[in-house]
Amino acid sequence: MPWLAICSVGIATCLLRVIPLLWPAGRVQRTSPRAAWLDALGPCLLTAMAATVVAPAFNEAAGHGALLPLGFGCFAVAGMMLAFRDPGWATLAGMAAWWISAGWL
Amino acid sequence: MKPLPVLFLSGARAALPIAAAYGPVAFALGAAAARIGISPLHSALWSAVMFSGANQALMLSLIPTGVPLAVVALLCMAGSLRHLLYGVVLRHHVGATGLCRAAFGYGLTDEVFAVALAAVGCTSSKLKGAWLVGLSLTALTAWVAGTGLGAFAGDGLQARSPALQEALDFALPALLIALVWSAASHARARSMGVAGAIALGLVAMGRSELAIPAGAVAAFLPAHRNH
Repeated sequence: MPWLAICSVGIATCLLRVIPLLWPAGRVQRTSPRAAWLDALGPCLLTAMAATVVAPAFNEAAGHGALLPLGFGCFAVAGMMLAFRDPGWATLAGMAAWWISAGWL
Repeated sequence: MKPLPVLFLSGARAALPIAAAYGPVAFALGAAAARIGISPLHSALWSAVMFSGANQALMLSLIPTGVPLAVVALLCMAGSLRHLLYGVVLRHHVGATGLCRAAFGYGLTDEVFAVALAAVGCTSSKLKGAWLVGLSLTALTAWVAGTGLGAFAGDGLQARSPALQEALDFALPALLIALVWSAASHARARSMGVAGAIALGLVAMGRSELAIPAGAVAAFLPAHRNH
């Protein structure tokens, strides 16, 4: 485990979460506009990250003849997100759909 | 004024939906961590230190690609910048000591922020420290326990069923698809689409290690606005 990197990220994340809460009143403007790039950075990182993980998963599934379980898994994730917008249950449903369809097909 | 234990339990109760949502994600992350040889204890400790699903998923996806750890850490920190805004929004609605604010802030994830903000809308008084600590501590406990359990059970389950092993391998792609879905909005569609296209192009060229930093550049595209 890369503990130095983990602790660095943990400390940085903690400081980013805690400092505004401890900042003395009057220093932070309530009405300050959110920088558009900052707002978009997280979703962009997330999308790029998903592309680097999902694309190899598709390649691997195609190589093993497991495209149908993969398709069912993605369909289940999309369905749960449409119904509940809950990433936790969507992940679980995707895994369950893969497992069940791999057993049947 | 309610007693502190009552306020704490009330905050913990408010975190139960978060805990239910965290369970499968944390389990999936723990199982994915076990797949690259991380022990249950280390998985739980990792979750306790970082407490950030997106950063942990990012780290998990980058470690096997050989990206330098300094780059991984910087990317995770860049991804955490949004948390700064959560504190800015909530600080005026929190009536708590510095210690309680710090304890709450440690667990101020996206979901905890959403629940706290919803609570702000339901009360005319400021949110109490014990309630906030109960909220964030319960979410943190669910996350740490879920990750450790996922790493533990994921390991044992993989040996018993190859189909289940493949399903667990699908956990990280499923989680990321769901997180992208969750973050998607009309205003961000263009920048997210460009980020995905850049990353896919680099993956196709065999340069996975550059895909995520290059995709982040799309954040600087102007957002789409309705007129």
